[in-house]
Amino acid sequence: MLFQIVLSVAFIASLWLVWRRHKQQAVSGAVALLWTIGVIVGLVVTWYPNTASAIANFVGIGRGADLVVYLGIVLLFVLVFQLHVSHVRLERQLTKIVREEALKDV
Amino acid sequence: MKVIAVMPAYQEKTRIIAAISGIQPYVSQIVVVVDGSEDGTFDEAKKTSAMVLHHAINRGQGAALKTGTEAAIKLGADVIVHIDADGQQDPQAISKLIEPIKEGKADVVFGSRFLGVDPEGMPAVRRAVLILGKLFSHFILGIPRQMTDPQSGLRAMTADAARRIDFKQDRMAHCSEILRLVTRSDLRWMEVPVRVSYTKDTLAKGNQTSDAFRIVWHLLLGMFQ
Repeated sequence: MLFQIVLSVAFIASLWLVWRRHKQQAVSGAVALLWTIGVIVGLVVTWYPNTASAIANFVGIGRGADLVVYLGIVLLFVLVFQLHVSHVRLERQLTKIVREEALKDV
Repeated sequence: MKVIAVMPAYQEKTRIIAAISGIQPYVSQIVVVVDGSEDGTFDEAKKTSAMVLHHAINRGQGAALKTGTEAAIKLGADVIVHIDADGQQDPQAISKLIEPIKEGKADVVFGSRFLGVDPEGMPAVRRAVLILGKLFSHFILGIPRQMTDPQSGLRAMTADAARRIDFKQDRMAHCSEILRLVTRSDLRWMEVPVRVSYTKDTLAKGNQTSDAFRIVWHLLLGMFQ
């Protein structure tokens, strides 16, 4: 029970933070919405673990906990890839500044 | 016809003057882009008649080439030649590269190491990686099979073609990106044989075999920009 309460508080706190960042225009509406869906799914699985098992059985995975781990790995992979992409975007902006400086006397 | 050579240079203090003097007879002007070198390449290049631009920090060969290309366009180039600063590529090849452009037969001309003139001192591993790169370029990037050397850094193009080839890869993946942009446009392109000589010195500094994986990774990331 204690674990479920702690997890729920963490989920709700993250949701509050994401929508606050959205209000400050630091997070897009689409990301905030995705986050909200994720939190709702998280809350449902936290309080009704059997739902995860039912979905796991439906997709052919033995246990609900395994399904959560697999999804977690996929999610982490996507997040790391996104980080790489945004890193490349920042690098290109840096290049643009360096280039403008190099070309200013041409 | 104003031919401007663009030469990106990184840590080339000992070779830059020879590289510039080597290509001088074949072009109207040379633009050297010193890409964040900390070994005095900039001061050495300044001793020559070349225009020397400076990247405050290292941004990669692709980024330096693009800076130089933009400078060449601003300087009124008719033809822009991309050439390395390590002296591996034979400067005499420049005449062969720009000839089809002068004759109006092509907009972009690539130098190829595999069109009859055998590269001197190329290690077997490098050759194997280039063959794999060719297969990757063809099957994954859709670069035509008749392209014999997709990783060649020696190329010439008209100023108009240079304006249209908006490559964004800062590091080594620019070669594949340029090829992809050229072969998917209506620009007329061709390859001409060029002689390349590898020495112990240039092999130590140049692209490593492991860079092939980095190129693939950068191309993949570039698709999501």
